[in-house]
Amino acid sequence: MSDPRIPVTILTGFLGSGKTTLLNRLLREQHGKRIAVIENEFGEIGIDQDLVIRSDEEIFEMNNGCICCTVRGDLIRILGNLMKRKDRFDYVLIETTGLADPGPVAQTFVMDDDMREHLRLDGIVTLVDARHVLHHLADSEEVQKQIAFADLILLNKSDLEPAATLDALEARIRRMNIQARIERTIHAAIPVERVLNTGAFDVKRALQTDPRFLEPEYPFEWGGLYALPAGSYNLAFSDGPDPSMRVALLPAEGATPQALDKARDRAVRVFGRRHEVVESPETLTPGFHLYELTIGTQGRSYHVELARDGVFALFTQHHPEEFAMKWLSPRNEFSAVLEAVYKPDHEHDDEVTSVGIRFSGDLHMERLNEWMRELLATKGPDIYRSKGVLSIRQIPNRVVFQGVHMLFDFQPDRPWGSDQRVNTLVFIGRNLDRRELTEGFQSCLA
Amino acid sequence: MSRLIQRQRAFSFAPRWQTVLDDYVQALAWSTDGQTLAAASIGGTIAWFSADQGNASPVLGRHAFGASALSWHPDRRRLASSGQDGRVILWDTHTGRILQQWLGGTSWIEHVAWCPDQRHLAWSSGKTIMLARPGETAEATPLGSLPSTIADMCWAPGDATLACAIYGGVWLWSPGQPMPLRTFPWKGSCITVRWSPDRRFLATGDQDATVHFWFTATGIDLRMSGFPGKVKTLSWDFSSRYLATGSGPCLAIWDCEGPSGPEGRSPILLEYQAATIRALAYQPDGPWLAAGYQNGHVVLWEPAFSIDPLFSAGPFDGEITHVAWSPGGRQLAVGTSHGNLAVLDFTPKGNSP
Repeated sequence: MSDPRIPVTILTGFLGSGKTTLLNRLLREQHGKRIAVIENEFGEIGIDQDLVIRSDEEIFEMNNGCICCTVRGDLIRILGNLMKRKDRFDYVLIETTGLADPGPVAQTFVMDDDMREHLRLDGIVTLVDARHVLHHLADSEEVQKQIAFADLILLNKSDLEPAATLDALEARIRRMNIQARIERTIHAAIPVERVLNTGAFDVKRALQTDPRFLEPEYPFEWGGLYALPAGSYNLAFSDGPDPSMRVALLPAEGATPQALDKARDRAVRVFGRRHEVVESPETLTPGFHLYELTIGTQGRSYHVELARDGVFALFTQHHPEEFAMKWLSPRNEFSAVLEAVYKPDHEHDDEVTSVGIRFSGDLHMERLNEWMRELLATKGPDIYRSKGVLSIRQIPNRVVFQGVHMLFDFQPDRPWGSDQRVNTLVFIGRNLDRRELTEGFQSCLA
Repeated sequence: MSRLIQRQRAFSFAPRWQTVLDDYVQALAWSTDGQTLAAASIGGTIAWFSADQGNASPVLGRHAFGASALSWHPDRRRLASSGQDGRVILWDTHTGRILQQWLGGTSWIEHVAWCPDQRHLAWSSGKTIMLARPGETAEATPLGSLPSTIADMCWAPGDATLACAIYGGVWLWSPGQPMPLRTFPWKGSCITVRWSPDRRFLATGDQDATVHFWFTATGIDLRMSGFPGKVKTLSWDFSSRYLATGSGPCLAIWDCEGPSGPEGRSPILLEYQAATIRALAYQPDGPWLAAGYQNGHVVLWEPAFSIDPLFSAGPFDGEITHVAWSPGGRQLAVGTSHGNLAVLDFTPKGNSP
């Protein structure tokens, strides 16, 4: 059965990102639909066949101080009045100010009885100015929030930047919000049906398409496999951008990509043991040691001792080219038979990120409830959005959920049938601890 | 119980007349003599009807973008209306002519009310209270500015003190006073405000699912929680002892008698078919409470006496949006979301023509 409620789309974006252009396009290109637009300026007399209303943003906080109870009082009042009309509109578009926090706008449609009864939040669309967003990201919490809350992000003015810049920008935005759809636009040109009535916020369709999971981030930038006979070697470094570098040397199972991946996962654990770091060792030997190699301005060479023939995996904190690293024997120089570059985890520490978690198995409902309640009660202000598809023990259907800050909603979805029962959970927010979230979620397994 | 049964056996409660406006009934107001009923719709219509027959006035006024509120002058002739066109209009209901009108700023005008001094007409436009002296001056002047949009306003019974409900509490203003007389702060959004007839209390229904009582003499406030949602409708009984409050399907009656008021007391809870309450009105001089429901029913209660409904009528077409007792408390006007308008009264059974 289709939802009889009127869909609402929230348009956010920094000043100059193209919100008004998009709005005008949607109004012009949409045919046969009565769209009510609430704009973010003073005054509220309807103009343009009563469809455009200007509103002065009024944020209502509740006495309990809970940020998820913060709503937009002006929207409740204005939409409450509009909903009474017989000649109702079919769609509501809300344009926020450039500096608006989308949280209270979204929460208005979850928190308020009248709004929830008549309207449904369809999605949050954030416009981003491809040319200036990096600058805004650096000093505006609002822009970060707007990206974090979005279901659809339009990378607008994409004609003004080279493709490589756009790729980098998209990667950065993707790190912040893995569940949003990202589209590149010029003059905010995009077909209406890709923006309106997408059901992005609908809990039932929350994860109709799986969220794209990111390549994980690693504590090292490079890894390589070396196939070497037993013997003594030298690992030589020249002057580089840092005075020292951490490395790990592990035995590997073969010279295959699979062996490198396996060694990489072990190396993550080795790099995690920072308290056991061995500083400027006399000799490097394969094993679970984390070495801190002092290099200094003159460069330096370290002795490596291999007790047997084999394949060995070397992981370095920075890219070895930055230090002109060489693996040498008295007669030869060796290069890696297989190597990989990893995305480091030390960029943009303070900004909004997404944590996607996926694993199979059935969850214990009470434990999950307990964990979610505790998590959202303590971390709610930092968790902007959450979405998930869960496999709950003894429930034949997928259970989907959708959250804004501390408000969340579980609903049964279609049966798993013969599909593999997998739990997928995405958190978007600030100061998220990936490990803590993953472990917490896994502790809910039945 | 016998009293209740006697009443129900003796009378029927049914529409005397019905009509249909163009859209959702936004406001209903009886003239002070009970002879005329005025109605306003979200379609913008302003109309008035003879209470007996439902004969409509020959001239129907309009507010572009929708009408919002009505207020009769005690002279029974002048009717003020306001609307989302930013206008306040003063009508002569005898001739249907516009006596005076004011065009505000860009904000909707959501409330208009004659001051008990019978000279001043006040309205709210966004965050501003405007004041006019119709018949004396042409211009309206700002009475005061508040920190947020005025959600509701209400003159004190028999006193030129205006209570304004805002996000942040209730502020009191008086004509001629450039500063608020008093503020009753509350860190939350007050949606609706009502004075008790004896002015002992100010009560508000709030966005955060609470009801507030302020003792106006001391400023002490009581907060009642436990409602299922925001509290949108309030009505005091004529004796100032009971306050009826509606939130979702929960109709709660608070007994305010005694020095501590409702503090520590449980309310009387009344439920009708789990239906959502849309409008409440106590009889102006009697114990009956009229409640209008989302399912189109109107129910009369006598909460101090029984938790069973006394009378019910309907369903009407659409949700009940307003209920208003005639000044004598013998007729009840009902408006719905589909524009239906009816005046119900009591007829002794067996005497029908």
